[in-house]
Amino acid sequence: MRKKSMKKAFVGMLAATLALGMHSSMLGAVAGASLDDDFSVPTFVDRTGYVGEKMEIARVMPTDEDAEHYSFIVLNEQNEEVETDGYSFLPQAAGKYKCLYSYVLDGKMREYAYTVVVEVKDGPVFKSAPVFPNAFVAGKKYVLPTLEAADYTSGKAVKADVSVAVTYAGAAVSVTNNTFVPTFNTQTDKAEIVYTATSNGKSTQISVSVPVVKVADAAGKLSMTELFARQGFSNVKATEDKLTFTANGNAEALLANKQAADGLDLEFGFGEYDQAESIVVTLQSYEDPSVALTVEFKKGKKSEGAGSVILNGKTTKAYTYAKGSALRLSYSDAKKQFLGVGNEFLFDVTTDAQGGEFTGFPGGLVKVGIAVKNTYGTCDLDLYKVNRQRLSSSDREQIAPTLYMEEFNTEYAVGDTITLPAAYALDVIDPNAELRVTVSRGNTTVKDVSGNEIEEVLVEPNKPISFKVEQSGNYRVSYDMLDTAAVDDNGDPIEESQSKPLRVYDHEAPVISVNGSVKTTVKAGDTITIPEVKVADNDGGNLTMLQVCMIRPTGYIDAIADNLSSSGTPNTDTVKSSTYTFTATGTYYLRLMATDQYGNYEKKEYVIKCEG
Amino acid sequence: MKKIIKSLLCLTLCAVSVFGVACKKETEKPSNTEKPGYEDTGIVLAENGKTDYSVVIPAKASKYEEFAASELTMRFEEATGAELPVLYDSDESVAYSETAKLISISDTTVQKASGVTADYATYKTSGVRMVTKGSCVILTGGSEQGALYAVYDFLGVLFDYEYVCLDTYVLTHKEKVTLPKLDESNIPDFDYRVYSDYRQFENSGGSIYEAYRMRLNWHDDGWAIGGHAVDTLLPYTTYAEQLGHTDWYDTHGPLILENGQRWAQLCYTNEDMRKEFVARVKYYLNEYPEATLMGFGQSDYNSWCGCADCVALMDKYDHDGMVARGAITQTLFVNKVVEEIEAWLATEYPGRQVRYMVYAYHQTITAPAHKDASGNYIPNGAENGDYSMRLHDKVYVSYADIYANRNKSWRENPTVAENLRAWAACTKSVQIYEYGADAANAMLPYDGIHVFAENFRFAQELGFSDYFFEGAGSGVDSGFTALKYYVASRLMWDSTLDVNDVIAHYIQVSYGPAAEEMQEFYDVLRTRLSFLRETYGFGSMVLSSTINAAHWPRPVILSYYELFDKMYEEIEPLKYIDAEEYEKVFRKIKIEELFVDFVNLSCYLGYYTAEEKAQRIDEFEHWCTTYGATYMGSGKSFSDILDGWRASI
Repeated sequence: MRKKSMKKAFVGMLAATLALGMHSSMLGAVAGASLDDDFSVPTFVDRTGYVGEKMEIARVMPTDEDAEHYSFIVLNEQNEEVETDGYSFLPQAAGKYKCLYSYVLDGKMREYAYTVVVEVKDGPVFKSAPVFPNAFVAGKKYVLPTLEAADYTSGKAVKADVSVAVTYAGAAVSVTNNTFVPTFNTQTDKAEIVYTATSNGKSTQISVSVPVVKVADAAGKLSMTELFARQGFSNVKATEDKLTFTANGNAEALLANKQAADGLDLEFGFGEYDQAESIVVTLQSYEDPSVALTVEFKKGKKSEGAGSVILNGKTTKAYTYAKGSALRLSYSDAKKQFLGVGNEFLFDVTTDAQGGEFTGFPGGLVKVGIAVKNTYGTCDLDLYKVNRQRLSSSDREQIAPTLYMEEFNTEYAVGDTITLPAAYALDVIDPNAELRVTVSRGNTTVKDVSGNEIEEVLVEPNKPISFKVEQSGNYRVSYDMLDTAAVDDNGDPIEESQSKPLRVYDHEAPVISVNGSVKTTVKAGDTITIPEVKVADNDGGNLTMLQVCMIRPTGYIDAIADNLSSSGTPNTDTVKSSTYTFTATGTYYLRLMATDQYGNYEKKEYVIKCEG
Repeated sequence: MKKIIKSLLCLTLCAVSVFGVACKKETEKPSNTEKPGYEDTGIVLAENGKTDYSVVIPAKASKYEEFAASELTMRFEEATGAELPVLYDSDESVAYSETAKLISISDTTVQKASGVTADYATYKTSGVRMVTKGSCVILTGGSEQGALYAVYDFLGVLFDYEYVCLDTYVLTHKEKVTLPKLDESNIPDFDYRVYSDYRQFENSGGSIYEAYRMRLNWHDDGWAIGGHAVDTLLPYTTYAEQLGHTDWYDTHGPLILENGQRWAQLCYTNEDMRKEFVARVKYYLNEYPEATLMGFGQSDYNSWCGCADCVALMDKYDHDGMVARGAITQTLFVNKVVEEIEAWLATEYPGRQVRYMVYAYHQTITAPAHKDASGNYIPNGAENGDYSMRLHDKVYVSYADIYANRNKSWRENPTVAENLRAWAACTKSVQIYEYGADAANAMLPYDGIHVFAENFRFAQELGFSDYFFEGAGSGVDSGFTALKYYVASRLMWDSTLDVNDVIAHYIQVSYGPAAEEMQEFYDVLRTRLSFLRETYGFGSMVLSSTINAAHWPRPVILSYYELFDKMYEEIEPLKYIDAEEYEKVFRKIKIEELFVDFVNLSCYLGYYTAEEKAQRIDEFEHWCTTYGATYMGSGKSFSDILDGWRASI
């Protein structure tokens, strides 16, 4: 996740700098190319927008790797800090917004700023844009993203009506509960998804075209050649160990289904006809299409020998090509690193394809495209594997869907309501890979906030699963990923399970209650009654150790009573009333102490003066 | 930030000006530290860093008297800025008068001229006499030792001085100090008080003066031979193996130690052995002409001679089947030896006073005494007019009941209580020999404090005047051993003190800003210990404490860590204000935390990653080594323990 903001003190310093009009020349810096050697600025920066419309924040970054305290903020016209999610902000009023970047190098502060002009749109505004995969797979169910829109013409946000319609090859496609099933005619026909926001008789539309591929025939038989939407390829054929895409000019194959960025692993290569100078792999964020990386394998016009690999069109690394050999590209989002054949290190990634700061793929999911570039004759692009799934003439899958989930906090406190993070079952072939979740504590299935057991519950987008933990202990969140269509070589469903441990702790001290009063002045020889003592703890079901003892003036501690069994574990929440006889004068301390299983404790003391 | 530091600095400087090197909170419980009010003479002792007074010590001052003078002048100057000159009473300028501005320490000509006396019968070795005669101050006692304590009492009256431990004492700074009118006697409950501790051992970085300041006898002071003396007097290897006198020894033979050393009991009915024994005692008393104590302690081996002569005597003086009968032959033997030695001393060293020690330990633990018809203990045989089981008046018994249940005080432990009462019938003097630490697991907390006061009071009721603690002799131990050392020293002087107040005072003075949290830790730990005593008999034996998760559940350990985190947080500002003080307090806190670390590493290593394990073990090793806390207990090697943990990574 991108660092969101600097410390408040630093914010104040920047704001003060602005207020004094310092560095005014920088404030008007033209976005689109870095005019300052201190910063690397993306080639495209969105500098205009509407109130209520999500504005991307340019991924400006320091050029010097020794930069310290790098940070950025967005300020409105009043020089107030505007909340961001690290990648974008949502302007709430018209005006000029300043995106300010700074860092310290050699003790000096370096700054960069650009301005975003925000206006009120004469009509409704979509808060964000919808995202779709590279292609829809015909016959599979898709849930259309839900968009929100508002009308700001009145000076405040008025919610607009939003509708969505889908057409394919000019014909309307039925959409029920935001869900539709695409059909297929040809690779060139596309599904058109049109969102319409309406308010006060005015409307705004977002229209997106998405290709449709047909992965299975009418009998359900898998055809891997159709896993990709093709642009420019004249032919594709499948053999036992690969798919071969043929083109006579620049062309690109787009993997229909989105994939997890972390661990993405591709095997491909120049085919028998290799009259293209380069193969370019593009990984584009599913959530934020403005974030993309490209890796170009450039052999030039030779079939083999010295060439290069180029990251984002800028960073070049020497590479040796052998005719017909497979190339490999694997990516770690955790390390932001590309590896090649034999896990050979290729690149650390710090900037994206636009030259902006790269801090990982937002949302963790990517769309994958593989292209041939600078062709000078017939060119074959061979695709061998995507994420260990062999691409071939086989109609069987080998690899089960994998689990992708957002960052997962594994430690909670009793009383917390836990919402499971967004999770998906991702598959190379099946866009509808099914994900089910079970939450348990020991042998007991946990119930959700509505009282329903979370046992093999279908995980669906926009339907978060939440449960409240009333008791400490070890919980387990188990996910089952099931390929809904394909079967393996034995004809069995392809499924995989994965579970995550989750620990719930108790951080609250138990509470001692005393059912009666304690005499605070006695005489030697007196016997007093110590009232019944109870302990309550927030950790439901787990009993708490309770001790009652008397500390004599001599320092001796008389253990009077406790709630422990012979094995030393608590077996009740109450210590019954007891008696104590004072044998000598002095100051005594009646101490009640409750300790729960997490070491939280409450200690109560009564001072008792024993007189002669 | 700068401003905050400045204000904290001011606070600290104020605190230092009042309390010297110690940190003391306003919430301190007062009962043990309140001083009685004294009438002010109006005579100025010191003002604006100047004084008209001089200190006087005897012309042939002993080490106690020299040290007493240096203590007085050093603390006096520290509190007032005034330097007290030290004079010998042989100095011509020294003459007593009621207007003389003299502070006399010990038995000086000034004291004699003043008419102030402190007879040994009343004050014994440790008793304090502190008197003002006009402007003259007489600090004396039953002995030079008492005079040193008189100096501490005097500093206490003037400046609230109290020595707490190695690096902490309380002292109030005063621009002007006037002389109070004094006529005080302060006699301890136990005249002979030992708490053998590494702080007093030079080879452990300690000093004999640490014992002096704690008003303790240094454990080796006055001894010709102490401890298990028979192994030194008549070594088995020499007399049995080399000279062939195997019949001088226990019929069961020696205990052979791993290092090849032999420990063997003597056959106390062997006449030849007795003659050589006497000769050897004379040899050592000649070697150490200043010695006032001679040990006859048996070997550290739980065995006893079973020869026919010994058994016959034990049968003769047994009464109702004694649990252990070794004291019978030991008593008969020792009485004979002492009579012979005393006669020899009267000739060779007229006036020399020597006391002799025998143990009540292992096979000699049971007193050779029984109750008569009226319920009073009498020595076995006394019912027939035979008082052979009564020890010579010059002999005292060091009662070391190693197998006694420490969870009960002597008074509440009927076996021990009755045995001690029986011993009181056999000797004029009994010294309790107590264990201050768990010999098996030095890192575990071994309470002890809970029975200190009861035991002291009981011993005093029985007329015992000696108390001996075998403390942490091998180095720093965790588990509040420093606190115990302090509390024992205070209670051996005055067993009527409220122990909880003494403890609270120590914690307040020693832990500075972290005192509140340390008191909390102490309270919860002792509550835990009381539970462990009840449930598992934990701490009942000085050799048997084990370490396991049932005793120390992980939540309990985590809660301790939480308290230690708070302590470190509390003392953090000290780091920037007074780095030296910070180091001192940090050290004390860390030493107590070592116990928690030890349990955590012993029981809960599995909770950590390999990297965390390595780090925690390294840290434990670092702090133990840094603070000299590498003694893990009898037969336990520090490096073996570390290796064991590391092997699990």
